[in-house]
Amino acid sequence: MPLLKLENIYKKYNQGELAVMALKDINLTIEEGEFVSIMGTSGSGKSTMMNILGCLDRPTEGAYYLEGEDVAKFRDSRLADIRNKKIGFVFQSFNLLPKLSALENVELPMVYAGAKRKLREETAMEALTKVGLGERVRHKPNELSGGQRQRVAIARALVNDPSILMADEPTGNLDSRSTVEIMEIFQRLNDEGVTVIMVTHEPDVAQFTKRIVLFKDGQIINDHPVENRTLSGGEKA
Amino acid sequence: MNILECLKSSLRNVLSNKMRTFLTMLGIIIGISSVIIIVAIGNGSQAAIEKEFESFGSGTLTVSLVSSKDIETRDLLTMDDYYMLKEDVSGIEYMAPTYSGSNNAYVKLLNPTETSKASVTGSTADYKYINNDTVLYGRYISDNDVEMRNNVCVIQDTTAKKVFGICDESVLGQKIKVESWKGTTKLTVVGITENTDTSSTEYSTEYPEEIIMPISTCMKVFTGSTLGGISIVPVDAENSDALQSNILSALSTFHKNSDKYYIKDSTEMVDSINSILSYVTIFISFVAAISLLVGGIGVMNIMMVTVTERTKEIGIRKAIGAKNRDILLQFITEAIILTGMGGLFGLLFGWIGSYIVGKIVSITPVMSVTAIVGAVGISMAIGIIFGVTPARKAAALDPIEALRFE
Repeated sequence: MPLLKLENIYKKYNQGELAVMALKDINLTIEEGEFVSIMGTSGSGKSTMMNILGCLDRPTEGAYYLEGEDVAKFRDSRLADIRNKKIGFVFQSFNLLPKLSALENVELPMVYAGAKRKLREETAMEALTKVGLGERVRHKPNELSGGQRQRVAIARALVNDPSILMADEPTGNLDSRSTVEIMEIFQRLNDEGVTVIMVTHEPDVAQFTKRIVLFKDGQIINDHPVENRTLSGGEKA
Repeated sequence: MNILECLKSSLRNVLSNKMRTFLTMLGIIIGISSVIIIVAIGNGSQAAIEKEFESFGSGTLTVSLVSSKDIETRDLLTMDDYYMLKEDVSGIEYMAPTYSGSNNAYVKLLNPTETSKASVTGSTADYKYINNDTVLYGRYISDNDVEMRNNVCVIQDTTAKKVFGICDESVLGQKIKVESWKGTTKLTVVGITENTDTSSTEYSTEYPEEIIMPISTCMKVFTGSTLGGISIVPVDAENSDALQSNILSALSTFHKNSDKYYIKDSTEMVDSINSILSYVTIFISFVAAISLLVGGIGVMNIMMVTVTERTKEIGIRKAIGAKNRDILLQFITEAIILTGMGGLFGLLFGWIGSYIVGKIVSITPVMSVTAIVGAVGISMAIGIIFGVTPARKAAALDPIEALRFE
């Protein structure tokens, strides 16, 4: 059984009189342990794709099997549950809560999962250590650098031990050094067995992944494995 | 998400903007504190009125002559009426005729040059029960005193201190001098009663000393025979109405007249005063309720603003797994904390305020548990009522739209 499988997915947006077909007949299968880039220009449908994959949105038509369950028809609260337990999000603008400390931000998904305080703190610390941010955990996001903030966001995405890590332009707001660091973290997590799906429009960043799915006008126009993959330390494979 | 986490997170948000929180709470604070003050002062004046009547004896009936009609000499109440009622009417527990000797008398004090204004009342032994008097030393006037026209009197402990400098057994048997238009009268003190009147009513300020003497002696000294009234305590308060009509018909038969007498029922007076008081309380409470309504709308308004401001946060929370219900609960909790805290502050200010107002109008405020629990409960209920709409708005936000919000 594949980790996720999309069958004949359509997504239609009604903008006033005008209906826009953002996705047209998408079929895609992603296995456990993959590291996939979703690429495309703006307006290509890659963000819509991300929202549907991340269970933030439902397709207008078609079936989306996540670990064998068709989540396309799930109610809001069941989708929230899936976002909480099976999916970890990393955003371009980090999306941390400014009033909470780094540690509290990482704990938040576990709060919604109903975990006890002690377990939350331990697990959150573990996740932060994993992304190389064992210190400064009591600091607020605005006291951290961009790279550090994105590490906190990754730790938050990991804390409930999800099946998929979804990253939407995770390096879009970072300098080149932080970009490499963050991509190395994704690679390491992927080596440890985490499935990563990442939306990007930067070919350099996509080179860190194993597979590239290219979108144009709401359709997949190309789907190929990455050759000459960029590996940790900047070497080429 | 459990309640405790929700509470913690909401409290943090509410406290993160103290000025706004305070201003939002102000309406609730004003509303709740006025309710507390109104209730405390209302209860206080009710208690004061009840106490005033308690010393008079609740359920006491007072028979008097109507004053608005043409009165003939034969209509006047005298001791004959007292003896007649005692003989003919059943169902009377205690009965005491009163003769107001003088309201313009003065008692000579310890320092012979000083005097104090006194009211002199003549009555019988039963007056002790009508007046709810407690005898501290000696005895009350007796029926024998009335029969023998003894020159004796009962004074209050406060008067004893002023006239003799002390208040104990040694005062008994001594004489006090009462000056009036009749000249100076010497009366032997046979008993001292407790002055229970702690409130500073107009009556007790105007007549600091109260002297009670046998009605016969009093009539002799002040040369009169017309009773001020006859006070009666019924055996069974339930049958008060029947007793009242019996008394009135007995008097009319006795005097061969009609509609010349009326009976004042102290219970009815307490009831009517209380009902006036409760109308006033209801009216002011209505005004307070409006201020609570306005306060609640203020809370709703600020919660609406908060939801808009925190659209992004709501989006983030939803993306990482918050259910609509979690968001709803969080914002309702924040509204409840706002109004609940407002209620607690209102309670505090109301408490302080009721003592200040109480000082001004000289009423001891009475705090009731009902008012305290009610105030906090109502303010929290306002939080729920006015928090639901903004919270539902927050919960209904689309996570994608909310995440895009800057």
